Amino acid sequence: MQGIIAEYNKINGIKEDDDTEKFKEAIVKFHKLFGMPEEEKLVNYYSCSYWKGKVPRQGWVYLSINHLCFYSFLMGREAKLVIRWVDITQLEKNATLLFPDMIKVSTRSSEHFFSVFLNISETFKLMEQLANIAMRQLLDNEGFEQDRSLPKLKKKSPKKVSALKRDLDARAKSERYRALFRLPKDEKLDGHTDCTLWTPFNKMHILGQMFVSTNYICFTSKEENLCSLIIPLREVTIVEKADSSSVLPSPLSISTKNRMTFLFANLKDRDFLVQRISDFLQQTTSKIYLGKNISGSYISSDDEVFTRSSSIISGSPHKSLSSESEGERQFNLNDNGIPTATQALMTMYRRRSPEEFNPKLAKEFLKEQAWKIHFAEYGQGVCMYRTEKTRDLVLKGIPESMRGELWLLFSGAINEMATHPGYYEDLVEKSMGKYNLATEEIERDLHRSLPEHPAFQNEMGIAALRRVLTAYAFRNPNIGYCQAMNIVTSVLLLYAKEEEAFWLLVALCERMLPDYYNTRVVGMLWGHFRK
Amino acid sequence: MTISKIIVVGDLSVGKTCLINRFCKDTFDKNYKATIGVDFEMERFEVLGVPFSLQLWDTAGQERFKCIASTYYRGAQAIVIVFDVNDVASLEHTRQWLADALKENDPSNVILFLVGSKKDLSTPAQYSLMEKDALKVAQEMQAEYWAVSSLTGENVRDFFFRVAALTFESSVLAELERSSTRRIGDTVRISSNESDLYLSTPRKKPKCCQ
Repeated sequence: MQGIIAEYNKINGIKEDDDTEKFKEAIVKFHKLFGMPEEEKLVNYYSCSYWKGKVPRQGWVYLSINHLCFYSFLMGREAKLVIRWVDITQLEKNATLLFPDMIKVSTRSSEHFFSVFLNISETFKLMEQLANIAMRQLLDNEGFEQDRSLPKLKKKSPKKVSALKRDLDARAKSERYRALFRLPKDEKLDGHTDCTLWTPFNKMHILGQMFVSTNYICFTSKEENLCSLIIPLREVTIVEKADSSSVLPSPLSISTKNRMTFLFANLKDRDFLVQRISDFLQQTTSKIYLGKNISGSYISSDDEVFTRSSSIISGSPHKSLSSESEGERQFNLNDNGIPTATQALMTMYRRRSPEEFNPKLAKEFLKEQAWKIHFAEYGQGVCMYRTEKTRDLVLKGIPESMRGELWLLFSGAINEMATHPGYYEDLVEKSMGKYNLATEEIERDLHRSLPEHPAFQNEMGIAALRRVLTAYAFRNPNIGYCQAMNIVTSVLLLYAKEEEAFWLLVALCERMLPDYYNTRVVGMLWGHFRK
Repeated sequence: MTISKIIVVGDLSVGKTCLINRFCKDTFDKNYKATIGVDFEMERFEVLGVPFSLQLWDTAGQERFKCIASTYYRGAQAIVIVFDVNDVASLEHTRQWLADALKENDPSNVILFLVGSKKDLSTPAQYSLMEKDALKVAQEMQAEYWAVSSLTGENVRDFFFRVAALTFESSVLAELERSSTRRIGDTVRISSNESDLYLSTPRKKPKCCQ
């Protein structure tokens, strides 16, 4: 068992102070040497050489939230360097053949070389991360905030590592994890472990890694693209330790609501893992399943089985709250007056007649069949086994009738929608009738979004488009409304229900193409100039 | 062949794309999409038997696209600033649009037009009120003022012919200047000859454009 799970394991004796004595000394030195203000936080420091002219100077590089600093004092000669992360234009590792362990730091006006690191890749990664954070702050005008919810370390941990460094490491790990499985922005990785997964479609146990976070269990095979899994804990009904055998040591089976069962094995620290998962399961149960009666009962051979029971959730204070507000709501997606709430526009405006034969239709039909076979073999819904075959099918083109469903699935929008019931309705309710620049611009663009399609030649389609765009602008003032979102949303509305289209837009703007649509269209500029 | 670059700027949905479409395709289509970033159209003419093209750059009106659209501002022979005659705010914003466009161009070398669009939507009384303000702005900018309707086509052709005539004239002038400086030896003779030739061109233009 690796990573943070291991750290959790050791928390019992929590240390009061995060930083070690040695690190504190370094902080004092850092502030004194470079005249940094108190609020400038040191993340880590490394021994290295700085090439000043043709002579290497042995000293320490100090990496803080906003600066890269170097100091050396040897034989009466001093060398000092302070560079702001935001001024750095490029960071390169192994910059020259002569000195392989070299980091080159470039700014607009100068280039600096550092070498002889004890741990060059860690140093370089941290440099990259800090430079990126600085850039992001510059773009968003947001300050850096330390994550207080991270676990604290025990004394045993490596001496030189600061609390900030651990914070950044955990952040980077969570970010990679979220990107890998397209999970919501606030999902925090708890830990990961090597294991095997039984894949029924080829009858094999494949090697891979299991990731556990607050709301998800994910798996990815060692061999790329072979198989991956995303199991939201809200879908889990049973987590069960099965009997170990010599063929299959420490197996764990996880069953979901749509009656799929996943069999993991070779889990090194199974008891701890199950404890973690069941802790998280209890939290999800009380978070999401307000008032819903989920009971999974399963008789198992082993001693410990976790099943959901309705007793955990009864009497939650949120329940009464949410039901009250529902009564007052004017905008209701279940209202018959809003057809786009229950079906995609395309289903209302299908321009094909089924009897007529045409090659395009035949092709669509074949694609649909291929997906149906895929579902039968690999499962359907959020927990499906995602394999190379899935990828191939996507690349061949998703048939029109399945676009809404599969877009939701592969973008991860399905998860955000499932965990935010009623959110969209609330947003529509709050945002409607408010006037600002965004709504004015939206209004001007509604009729020039997808004007050639009959779905947007009447008030129904236009109204749905208005609601989704206005709700989004209200949710995220940082992006607000950006032209082109109207066209994208129109297409989403053709294939998905209104609420689904909203969450697809969220996934697109915030996770898949971040910065593309914000007020400075940074992402688009970047793409534009790369051309 | 000579090409003149014309950039068309102005607020969101004042009718930049419709203006260009009316001229280049002679259509008014309600079913058009909002311009994202930039678009461009070419329109070919013959002026005095010389092939001449207008390259019309249609830009997005939304504030946040300025950074992208402005990269196409450079090297324009004419700047067309469009506003909606029914929207005072859009007229006020023309000053900013001009300032942005001039950042990328040499103010002494570029011809300015202020165009009020959607004239068909305003009553004569409303329009005459607006025209006063528009003329004042145009005078300040030293721009030529035109009022058009892309829906009815009123003034659209005449406007673009005027743009073509003026840009052609300035291209010819610029060309003359270049050639005269190239042939340093006989500067005096050539420039005096050719400036005569030039003088006769502008008057003839309106006819030959058609």
